[in-house]
Amino acid sequence: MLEAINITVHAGPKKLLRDVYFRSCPGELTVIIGPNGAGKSTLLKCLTGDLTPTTGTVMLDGTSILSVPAVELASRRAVLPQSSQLSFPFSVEEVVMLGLVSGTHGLSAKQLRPRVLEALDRVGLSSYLHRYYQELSGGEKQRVHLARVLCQVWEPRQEGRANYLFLDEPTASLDLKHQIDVLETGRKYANEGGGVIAVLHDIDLACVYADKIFVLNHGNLVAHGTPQDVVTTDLLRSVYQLDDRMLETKWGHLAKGQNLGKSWSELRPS
Amino acid sequence: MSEMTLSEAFKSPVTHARTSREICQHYALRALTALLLVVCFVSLAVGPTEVSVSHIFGAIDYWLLGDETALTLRDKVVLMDIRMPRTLLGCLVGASLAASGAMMQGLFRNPLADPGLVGVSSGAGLAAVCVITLSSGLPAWFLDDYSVYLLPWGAFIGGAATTALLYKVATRRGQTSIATMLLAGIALGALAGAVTGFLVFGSTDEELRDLTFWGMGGLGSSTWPRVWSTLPFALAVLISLPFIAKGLNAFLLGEAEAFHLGFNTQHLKRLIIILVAGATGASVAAAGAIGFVGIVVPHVLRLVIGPDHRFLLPSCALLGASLLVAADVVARTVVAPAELPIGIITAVIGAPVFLSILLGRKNQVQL
Repeated sequence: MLEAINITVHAGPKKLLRDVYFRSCPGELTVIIGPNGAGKSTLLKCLTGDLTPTTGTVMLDGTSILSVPAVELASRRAVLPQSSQLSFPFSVEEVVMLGLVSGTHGLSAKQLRPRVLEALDRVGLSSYLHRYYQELSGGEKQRVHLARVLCQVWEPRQEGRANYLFLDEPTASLDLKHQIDVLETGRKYANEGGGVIAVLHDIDLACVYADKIFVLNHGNLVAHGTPQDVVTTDLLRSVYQLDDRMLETKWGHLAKGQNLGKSWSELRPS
Repeated sequence: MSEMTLSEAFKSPVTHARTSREICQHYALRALTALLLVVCFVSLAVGPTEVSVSHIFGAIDYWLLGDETALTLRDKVVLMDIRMPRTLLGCLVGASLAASGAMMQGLFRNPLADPGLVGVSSGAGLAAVCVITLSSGLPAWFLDDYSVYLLPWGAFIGGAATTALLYKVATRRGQTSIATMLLAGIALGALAGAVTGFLVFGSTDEELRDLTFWGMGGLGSSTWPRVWSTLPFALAVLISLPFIAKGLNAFLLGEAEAFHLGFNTQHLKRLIIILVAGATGASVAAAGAIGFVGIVVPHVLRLVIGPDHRFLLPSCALLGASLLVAADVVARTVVAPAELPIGIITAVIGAPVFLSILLGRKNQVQL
């Protein structure tokens, strides 16, 4: 279990996060939503160990994440970045292989090679193995990185403990099919016992795929729970400051006094 | 969601880029070692004084086994006191410059970063000049014996300070901006140049002769003490190459990504800055500011064997050493008995190669 207990993050005089609680359980896909500047990325950075909160702790299976060495942490969690610049002529295969650079659990390069192929196959890029990374489109690059992080924490569960997959706005540069693909990959990872934490802007996709939703606004945790409980038109009005016309434009009849979370989660694939 | 089944992927034709890269990685180290040996042999054989080939082997015999009979006195002086230290120093400086260029490009995640280009050499040069002008207050017996060892350390500190400052200025939230880095490098280089000029302005004639050496660059004043004073810095870089290669590969994705992949990025950064500063500083102290080796050698090799630092770093050291020794042979033969500054040769070789790479493979090299 990955848990953030009352974390506060200061940046100068400004508080980026105030007393935020977060929990991700094995087998669950947890989504963090909120408007721009709400503190989603800051929370994610605390959860991955990049950032030390000013107060409060992040616990991974009962141990403070700051006391876990980087190498061990790398075998327990992988992070899909929003975007990644790479100005050197790597092939797609070499980029995906970077996911295997530390958490190899004593397996040899020969044993790990099928994993690279399977990961690329899972993101639909198996024919891209020997292409140059720099020649790919933004969305294809994003999928290559998804394959890389999948390679890094290949087993959702290991030695009785869950591994964690962090997806930071994974759908941002993807077309519709691949947006759904990446979330289904996350869903599958969670169903097999891993923990998945995603930052999403698309509330519809969040409701369809998430087990739990955490809503941030101005650095505060304003709601958390299942999509049915959390995502209501009232919440969208208060957090995103949407008026009736905006709600109607985006969701039509669904927005009229409805529970959006409930409507969308009915679409969830069984 | 697959566009192709797994078995098809295994059978799919391997593109040209990959096969040639794998083959090149396989043979690169052997081929480059052979090249270096040939170049070193030529460097020992060529010069204003004729030395027969058998005497070169004799010198190696003498050097390794202490066999005095293999050499005439004249050849012993020419080979052991002049050409041997010069060749060895060329190897050390070339290997240091090329490897530290590759490491710095990895650290900054950009193929344009080069100790010479972004002011590290200038910073090291400034520190070396400071050592020369300020150490005149020290007792003469100390200077005669130890000033050759003092210089690399001074240059190392200057190089380290410049690199650390540069990284601090150019990196915001884990992303290094190439524009900021180059501009900050120009500013730091100009500042170091100005201070150097000021020190030169107020120096004595004898100091002036030492100082002009830094601007020109060359292996003309190679001596054994100079070899020994450069050796520890070059060795530190060469020994650490296998340990930092994987970390540098991860670093190319970004600092946060390298941490996510399990590397202690703070340690890695600090180590690379120290190694680069040491190698660059010692090179500048031994042979002045020699440009282009640190940028051309890694660039050429990256296009042939790819950017994987496990193969790239040792290959860079070997090719850098060969390039500098070869350039030195040219520098001291084309206008013999005079000598050209070696920087002219490396620029003449380096710049066209660099440009042709940029023109020929635009799609793979994005700066």
